Amino acid sequence: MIWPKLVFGGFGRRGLEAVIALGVLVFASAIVAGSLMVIEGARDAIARAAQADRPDLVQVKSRFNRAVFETPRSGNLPPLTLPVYEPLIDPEKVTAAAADATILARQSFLRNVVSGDRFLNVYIFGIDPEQEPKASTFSVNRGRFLRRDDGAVAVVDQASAQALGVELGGTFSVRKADGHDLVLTVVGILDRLEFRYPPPRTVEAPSLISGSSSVTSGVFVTLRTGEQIFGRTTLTDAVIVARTPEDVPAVVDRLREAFRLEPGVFVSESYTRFRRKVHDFVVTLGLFTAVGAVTAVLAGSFGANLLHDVYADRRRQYAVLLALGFRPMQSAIAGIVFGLATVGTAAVLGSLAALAFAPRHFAMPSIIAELGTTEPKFDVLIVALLAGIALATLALGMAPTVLQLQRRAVAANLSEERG
Amino acid sequence: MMIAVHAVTKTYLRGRQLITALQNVSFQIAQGELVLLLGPSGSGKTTLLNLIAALDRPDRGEILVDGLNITDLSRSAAAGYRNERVGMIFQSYNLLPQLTALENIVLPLVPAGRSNQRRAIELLEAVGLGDRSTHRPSELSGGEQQRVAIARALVNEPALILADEPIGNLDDENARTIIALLSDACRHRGKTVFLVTHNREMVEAADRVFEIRAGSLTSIESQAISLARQLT
Repeated sequence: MIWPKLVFGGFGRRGLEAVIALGVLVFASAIVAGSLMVIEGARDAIARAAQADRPDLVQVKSRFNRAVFETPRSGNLPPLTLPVYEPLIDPEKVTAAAADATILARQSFLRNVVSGDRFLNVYIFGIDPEQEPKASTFSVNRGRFLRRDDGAVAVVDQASAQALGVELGGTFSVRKADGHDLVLTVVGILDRLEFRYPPPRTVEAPSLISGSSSVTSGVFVTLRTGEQIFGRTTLTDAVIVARTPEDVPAVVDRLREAFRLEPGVFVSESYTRFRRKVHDFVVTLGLFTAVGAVTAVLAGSFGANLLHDVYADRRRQYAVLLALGFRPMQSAIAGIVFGLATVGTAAVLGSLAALAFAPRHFAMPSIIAELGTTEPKFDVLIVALLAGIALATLALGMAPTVLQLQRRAVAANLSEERG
Repeated sequence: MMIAVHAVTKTYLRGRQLITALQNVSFQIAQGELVLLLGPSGSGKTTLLNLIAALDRPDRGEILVDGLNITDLSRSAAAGYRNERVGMIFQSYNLLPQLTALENIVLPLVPAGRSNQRRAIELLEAVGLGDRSTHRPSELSGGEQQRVAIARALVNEPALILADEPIGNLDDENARTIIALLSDACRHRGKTVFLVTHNREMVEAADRVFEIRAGSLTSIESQAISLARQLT
């Protein structure tokens, strides 16, 4: 029972200062942890925004970024004629304007396809199978994905496959612009599809995500097959992947210049909005770093000063231990364990307080309007920073006592009057 | 335990003033001797004791304890030396306030991971405080604290006992008990005892007596000791 008494006993009135130091450090830890949680939440939000917004992408699309034309070939429904919108995007212009950026050329169509004794609307996308995964995600469940040299083959997602009544290796026919049918063989079935910049969903068609306003299901063919169906090389839309997000403004300028005489072609990017989010993040980071840093410095130094008083008062006790034959490290352990227990308890209680009282969703519309609501997060980085602040406080509080014990002879420390 | 002090000088800087606490002090103490160091306050008695206990280092000279030059020891080695060989009785007791009397006595055994409660209780009874083992220093009188400090100095059976004014706060009866205890340690258990005091009544128990004045040591001749013994 001697060691616990050596570590925690005999503080007298300085015990109150130790308790106040603990309280101050709990408060400081809670503020710092709360600030860091907001920063971490904002960091998470900006990382998710970078993933979702893809600031390195530029979209070029025609007014209706799909070609819609067909008349039902069979069935009892009355003939229905849908308008055909001519895409205006010349792939050569896109190539020239994009310079060294990667181009994901696309053709998308809405076709009526006969399926058994009925027909249905299906979205067909002509894509470059090697480039398109740079912007979209295709998860092949069965079979394989498209290859650039593929001919009349298609990859369909589960929803479209079910609607068409086809399985892997099955076929279905699509009417080409020249009036002939093209029979497509299914070589792959997708179970998950995240198609970047999908066209709006305007008619009843298979869908992987019910209720979505965008197309979430379709038939994917190579661009070459798409050109066969469409009967022309012009694109319905294209996605440009800039080498870096910072290249985006220049790419956008060149594309807008290239298509300035074609009002039906639109160039859009998310870089500008993402930059505003980054700005909001930087403001959030700066504000809460300042709050955390000022709190850490002021409360930490106050706590360190209180700990210093406690240690200074105990200096004679450590000298007595040395005089009785305790090795310097054994004597130091009594002080270090006390300090670690104090600052460690403060850091844990502060963290718990921050976790208990921090809001699940945090928003400051005045400064983080674009970044939006963030979810404060407590992670290992915060634990490390709190531990660092706690240890720094302890080191500052202990240092003068340690230095004095180290520099002066034991006899001199023993003869020192009690503080 | 044989102690040889060779030409030891120790100075302090007090403010801007250089104080010479010890000036070229040399003497030897043989094993089993009880040596008394007399001198007025501020003459350097405690400084000399601290140097022999390796609580401080001399500016010049060396101190050999059984051939070991303790002035060259590292802090850790000096702590080991004190713990294994020295029992120190401080003038200001230096008891830890949060520990009971018994725990204070056991304290020197802690660094080596030993615990000899029986020996501590024996010593507590030997100094007349058998019924005060659970009392804290604040609950003891100055004399009682002094006796706890004496018991603490003896608990790890040190070969050398260094005592700074060990009976300064004791009444006559307790002083005689403590002197008997230290004499017994010296005569029957072969301990070397070096006592610092300004009380000439202890001369009777000593084998040799030194006197220190203004940092310089002189040995009091046998006749003078006898005279002092007769006077007391």
